[in-house]
Amino acid sequence: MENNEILLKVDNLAKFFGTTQVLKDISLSVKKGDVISIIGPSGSGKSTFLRCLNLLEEPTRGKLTYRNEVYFNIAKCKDDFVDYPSYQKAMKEYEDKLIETEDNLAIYQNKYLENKKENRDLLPKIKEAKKEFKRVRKNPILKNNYFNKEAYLEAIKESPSYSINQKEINRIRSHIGMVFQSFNLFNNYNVLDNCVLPQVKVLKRDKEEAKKIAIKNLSNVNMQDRMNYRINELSGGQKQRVAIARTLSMSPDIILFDEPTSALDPEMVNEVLEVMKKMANLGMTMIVVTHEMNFAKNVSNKVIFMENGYIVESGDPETIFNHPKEKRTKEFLHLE
Amino acid sequence: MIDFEKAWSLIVNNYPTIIAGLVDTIILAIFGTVVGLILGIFLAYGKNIKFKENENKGIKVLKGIVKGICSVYSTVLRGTPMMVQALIFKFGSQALHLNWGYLRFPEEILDYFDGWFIAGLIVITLNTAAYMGEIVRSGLNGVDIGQVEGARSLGMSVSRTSLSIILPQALRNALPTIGNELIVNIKDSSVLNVIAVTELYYRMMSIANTTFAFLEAYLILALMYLVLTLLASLILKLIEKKLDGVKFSLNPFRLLRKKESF
Repeated sequence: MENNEILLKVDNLAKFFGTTQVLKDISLSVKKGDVISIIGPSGSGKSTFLRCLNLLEEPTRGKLTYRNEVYFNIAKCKDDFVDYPSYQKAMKEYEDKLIETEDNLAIYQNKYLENKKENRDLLPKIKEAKKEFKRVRKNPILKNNYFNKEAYLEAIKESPSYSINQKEINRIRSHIGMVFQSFNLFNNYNVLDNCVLPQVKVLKRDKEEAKKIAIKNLSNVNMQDRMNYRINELSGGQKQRVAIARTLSMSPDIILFDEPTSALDPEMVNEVLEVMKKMANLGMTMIVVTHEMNFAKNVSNKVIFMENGYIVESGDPETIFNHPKEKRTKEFLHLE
Repeated sequence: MIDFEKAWSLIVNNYPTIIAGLVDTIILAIFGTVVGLILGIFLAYGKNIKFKENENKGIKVLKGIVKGICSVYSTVLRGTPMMVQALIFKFGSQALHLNWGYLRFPEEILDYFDGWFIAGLIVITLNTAAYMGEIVRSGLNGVDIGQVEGARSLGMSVSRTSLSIILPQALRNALPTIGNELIVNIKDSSVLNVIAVTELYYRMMSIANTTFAFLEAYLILALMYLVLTLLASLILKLIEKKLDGVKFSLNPFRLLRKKESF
């Protein structure tokens, strides 16, 4: 059946920012017509996950497939072979040692400065403390010492990495739309041109045709009478609705929503949610990062609860909101 | 003290010379600003080059060279007076056996153009480009990163994003400073008299030297520069209002009125 066609498949996605791992082995498959809500506390990696899907943020490792077409694939990354727990422990010890030796030096120096003539015998001690401090500072903990290079090279031999060129990424991105928390509409164009420009420049559509599509989508989000307004003349809710219309004009297969209502006041939240509900009913495939529990409960057909970079629990909204299995989910939803 | 009759006769007797000087000054200022801006955009992009982590070493070296050249250019050109630059340009080209004074032009335009004028155009353009590089760079860095993300998420390429989205916004934000540069150029083109560019100051100086009406001549000169700069700032204001979508009007009272806020 066509309805079960898998549009987007995510395997073992991981993302490192420096020494912290924001996403840990996330796998997910998105079928056509799915409305997936991702909920979870702030800093759990929801937004990063979403941004990894259209490569706005480059994942460190993982495999991304769009309609049987692999557009990102790195099976093993360097960070997998770094012993982070012991590295962080060693780092902590090093910092403590540094502070300790510096304090030691400061104590002797202050004592000496109080009375230079009497405390002359402190001078060799100061010299020694200085030497010690310099010695500690000169030997920082290196990440390389905790990096298992041989294992990494061995692993890389078996599974070569693969990433596509910029042009292909742009093509994939035009199929995967995204709506941002801060709207990100083009300030130097009016409402209509915001919707027309990307169609003409990216999809190479005819200008008249693009205009027709833009007007159709703007009326869908109820913005047809403000087409000639400048962006700074709109309210937040109106901006977000135009942003949705702009994304829809590209006729994407999937739309990613990155907390679309978080920057809006309650009244405007509703007008945006109405539009999103309408889209869901029309069969649009959507992945929504949201704090609107009612939307997740009523509109989506799959809810994912994320914390600390893991998918803690996922399932249909009925089970997640009424009888979740995991303790953390219950706590987050105030069911206990 | 000021002999008004003398001043008036000075204008009446020498007006073709004065107008020729005016034309030269205006051409110098506008050409220098516009072409300097275009060069400055390239300079700004050159200075804004960022290094990526996993990149080919050859590309990294190339990037470093381009960035270094751009930085050195703007540091040197901004750190030395334009008068000195003009003199170095003059004698430097003479050392290369290129004498700007020997360039020949048709009779009809000889009143306005000669070889030294071309040299002056080059000097003022190169000098302005260094400043414009910094101005455009600050404009580019002032554009919200969200604009880039929005464009990239729609599938626009890097070059398309900067051409259609970022550069227009950067130039709009930098417009007041760019206009400032035009006004500075109107006044500072006067230092090009050291390489015999026959702009307004040079012509007025020669008039003063022949009529001995020094105070009158220089007062008239100051007044003319003032009118020029005022006109320039007025035109710039009009352009700004036009870009912001306010109706175009030459009525000074409407111009002074503030834009209604929404």
